[in-house]
Amino acid sequence: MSGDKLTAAELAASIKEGALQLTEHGENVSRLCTKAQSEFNIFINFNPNDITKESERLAGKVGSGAELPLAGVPFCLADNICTLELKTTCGSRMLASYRPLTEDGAVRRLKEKGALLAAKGNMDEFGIGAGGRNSFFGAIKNPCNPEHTGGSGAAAAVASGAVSFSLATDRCGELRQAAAYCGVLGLKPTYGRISRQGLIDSAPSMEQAGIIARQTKDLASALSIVCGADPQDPTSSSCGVPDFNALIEEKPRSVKIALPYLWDDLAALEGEVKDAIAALLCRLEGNYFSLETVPLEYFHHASTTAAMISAVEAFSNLSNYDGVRFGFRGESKHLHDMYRQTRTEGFSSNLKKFLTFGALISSGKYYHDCFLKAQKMRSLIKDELEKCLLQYDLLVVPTVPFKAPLLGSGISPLLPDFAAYYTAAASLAGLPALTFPLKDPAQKGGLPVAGLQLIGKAWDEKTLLQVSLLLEEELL
Amino acid sequence: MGKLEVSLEEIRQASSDARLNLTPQEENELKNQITDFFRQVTFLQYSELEKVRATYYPHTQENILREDLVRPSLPLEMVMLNAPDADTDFFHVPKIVE
Repeated sequence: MSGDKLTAAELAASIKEGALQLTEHGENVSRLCTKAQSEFNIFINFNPNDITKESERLAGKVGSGAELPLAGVPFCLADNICTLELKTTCGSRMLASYRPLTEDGAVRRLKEKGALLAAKGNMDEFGIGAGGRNSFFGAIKNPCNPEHTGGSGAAAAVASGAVSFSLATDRCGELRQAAAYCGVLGLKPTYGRISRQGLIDSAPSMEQAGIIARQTKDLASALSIVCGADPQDPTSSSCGVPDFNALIEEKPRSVKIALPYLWDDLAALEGEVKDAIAALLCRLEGNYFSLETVPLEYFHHASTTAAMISAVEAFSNLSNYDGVRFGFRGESKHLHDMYRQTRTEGFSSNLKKFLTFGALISSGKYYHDCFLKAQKMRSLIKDELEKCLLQYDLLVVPTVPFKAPLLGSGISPLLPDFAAYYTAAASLAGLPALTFPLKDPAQKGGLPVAGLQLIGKAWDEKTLLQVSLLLEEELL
Repeated sequence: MGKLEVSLEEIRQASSDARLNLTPQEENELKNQITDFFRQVTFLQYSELEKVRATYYPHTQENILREDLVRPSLPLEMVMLNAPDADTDFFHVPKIVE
């Protein structure tokens, strides 16, 4: 019996009942990861022996009767989420040999429930951008078509079938974009739902952990475990955590959906993506859903607003990479030259330009003319979305305006970032958002056409998951 | 507010503030990217933004205070674990004065 087609809950149940042996299952996970790594360059840190050892340890715990709802469920972590046993590199030369001194709060919770950490996923340097082509460890290939980017190793690992789910970070929408490129589900919960302790972020007011999976039930299983207040993270919320596993079984009675007026008025929006989204929206109407277009005056400013805010936050947040206490050090005979040499050699050209942009707009006249105005525009975007969601259950838009870009097309500039056009608004407002994959049935096994993004009310991940399950099981 | 124009001198000052060296090619690429970017950010000209409050975090945060108790800190060997150059209880760095 193979575990790679089962949901997380089914897999854990099979292990508990003895239908699947954890040690054999661990070897299978190890084989799948090795294959995925050799074909798609998905992982940065991956050791088959660690998987074997951890499977044996978990087998002992299961044998002694421990209650482990995720026993043996393999997962991948983006390599900016800290673990004690593996290096955490953030996809950067700067941290290529960094060993964390702490463990991420969400990872600790997953391990306590028996989940099996398989590997650390390749990623764009410090999670900035989802082009999948700006990692010190090489470009990430898309398992659906290796000539195209996979966006992130976390998404590609799920798409390849090597793991059941991944935990990754979402700054301006990178998690959702990568999931759409790979044709899998991606959920960015409400800001504060998941502890950020142990996460090496670049933009703390927007960046947070989220989940990528092939099945909605796996999103719900992982979410139920990783959510909750963490005394070590002041941004984590004490808002109650429902049992998402039980809640998603309830069918939504009728869902009121808002679609921004002129949602398709974007030059970068590919015709194929636009057609797929339009066709799906037509099918949804009348089937549990009512759809109305709404005027949103500020939504289209979200990606540029987010770019400015995140550049300033990254300039500040990454200022401690100076080669003294940890990470890469550039050679120099003078301390101040060493700082400069370390950062110049340790960061990629793309990141250096982004940090310089952050330094520029947080100083002098640009502070008032750009950065402060971006923070004010953030208020307008947030207020507008929240007002809209008082009248509607969900807002829908495409996830990314285009299919996964070709790997040979060079590194995408971070200014402007068209990929974040539809995803940045939920990040600025801290709202939950889920991307649902749309595959072209005529192109079996080909590149996914698009992702449909559902944006929900704060703390209402339940509706996102219920609608996702409905789409998965009945409508598509 | 007039049209924003960024100069190479400003980019050099910003990269210096960020303790980074950019090559002349990177400086020019960034100047072009920022010029294009400012052209797209039309809201920078909105006068109504003057009266809008700024948002720094998506949700209101409460200040969480823990009890003021002494707790064990990281052992020195852990603190030094990732240092590029260190002795048992201090970091080695190049000299500051000539």
